[in-house]
Amino acid sequence: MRSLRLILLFLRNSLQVEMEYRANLLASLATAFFSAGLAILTLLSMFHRTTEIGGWDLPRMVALVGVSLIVEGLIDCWLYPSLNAITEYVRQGELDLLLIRPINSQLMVSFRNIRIWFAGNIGLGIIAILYGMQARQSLTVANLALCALLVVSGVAILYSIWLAAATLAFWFTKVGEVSIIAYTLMETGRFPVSAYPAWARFTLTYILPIAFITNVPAEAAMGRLDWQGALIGLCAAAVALALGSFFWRFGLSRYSSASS
Amino acid sequence: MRTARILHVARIWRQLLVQYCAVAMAYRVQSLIWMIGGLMPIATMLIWVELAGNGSIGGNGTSYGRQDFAVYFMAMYLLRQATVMWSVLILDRGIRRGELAPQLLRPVPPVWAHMAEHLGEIVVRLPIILAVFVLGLYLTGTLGSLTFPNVLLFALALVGSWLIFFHLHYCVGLLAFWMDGVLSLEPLIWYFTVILGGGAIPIDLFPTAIRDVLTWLPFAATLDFPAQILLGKIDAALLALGFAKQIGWIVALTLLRQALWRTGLRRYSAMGA
Repeated sequence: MRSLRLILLFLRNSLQVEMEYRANLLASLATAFFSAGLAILTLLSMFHRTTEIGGWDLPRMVALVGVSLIVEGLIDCWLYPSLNAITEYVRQGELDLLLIRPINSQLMVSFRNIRIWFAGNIGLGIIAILYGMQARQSLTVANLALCALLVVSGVAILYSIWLAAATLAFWFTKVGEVSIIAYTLMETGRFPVSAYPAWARFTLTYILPIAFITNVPAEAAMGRLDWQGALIGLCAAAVALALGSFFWRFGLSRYSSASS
Repeated sequence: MRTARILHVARIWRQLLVQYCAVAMAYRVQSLIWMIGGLMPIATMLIWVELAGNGSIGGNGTSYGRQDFAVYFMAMYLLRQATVMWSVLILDRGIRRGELAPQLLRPVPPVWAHMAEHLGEIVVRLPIILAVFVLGLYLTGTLGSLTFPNVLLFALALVGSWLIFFHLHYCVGLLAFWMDGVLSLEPLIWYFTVILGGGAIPIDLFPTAIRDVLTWLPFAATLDFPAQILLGKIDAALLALGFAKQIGWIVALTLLRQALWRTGLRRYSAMGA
């Protein structure tokens, strides 16, 4: 409960900051528009030469791109500004000031910066999913709800990986743009895992789990996911969150503050 | 007098390169993370190789088999890794936070230092990039398809690509003299480069109308053109045209960069920095 109140407080603070930079809204909308446009251009051009990609036809691929746009929107407005700041906290010694506050440090670094203007991709992603569902006649409340739930658990997995990567800063001080790994993951996730050769599928499901981040929610939207699949997705998210949090605390125990 | 000046410039450059290679070495882990991020063209290659199967995918008078996709996207990997740019970040920070001011006092033009910073990073990364490149070609059984002249021409085109990218990013970064949010333009340049340059789909496989437009943009000149050279798919006429386009873009963007720098700097000093 207290955590929720804190998150809302962080959100309000971020919103106040954001109001000062309203021009960013325009930049963000332009980025969202062009990135979604280029994604659709890629898709249509690929389908100009082929009829399916890894067994997925056009509506399913559109829904998949929709899911990745939503996740990318969340990266832009939440994961990137919050988690990417961690390495800078460590490098410049600001982390010491955060640690002495009487709240959970993971919670604080995770929700401290939210740039709401950069959420433009989310809207376009929702439109893409709805289009895909409409074209496949799978537009039901149940499918939509399951898809939303699995998007949340997919983002939880991505969050955990990112947090763990940023935690490396405790050992290496400057790990720089960890975000590049996340963006690479998302680029890979714009395609179904079945489009990759057999030997790569295991990696993309369990090691760089784009299957859970983009594929599973898209399948849910299309009504093609059974309850076992959904359950595995949710379990994967729980495991990832637990591991990420453990690694953060482990890293913290090895942290030798900036001034000592 | 003239040789003395050339020697002086050469000494500055040697010093800059030594300095920034050392910086890049100090931040090795960062370089490593960057390189993991660069693996995307290889994932794209896997998709196209799977799509082609044992046949080939044709369009606009050419066709790509799995071997062609392998060479094309390994070239993409090398090109994108060797042309990673962060000048937008440097200039945004330099201009908005005033970090540029001390650099202006040095007897070395800031643009040289920025170039050297990028080159130092490449020098440190190059052995690994080349190893991945050769290994990728070897594993896909395409290493033998390269010819010496093609590799040489590819290397030449790579230099052209680097210069175009550097100036493109630098011009966008210089916009920080006038606006606050240049950093948010960086992902845009990136999307345009990758998709319109052939990073997701070889330019030849786009629908004809789109392809005809794309071949005239700087993105195709920097990514698709060198990759085509490595593939050995283009004849002498297209080769000459491709290099002419590269030179044209380099000249145009250099002039633009100088104009932006001059007018921007006037504003900058007017702001009292």
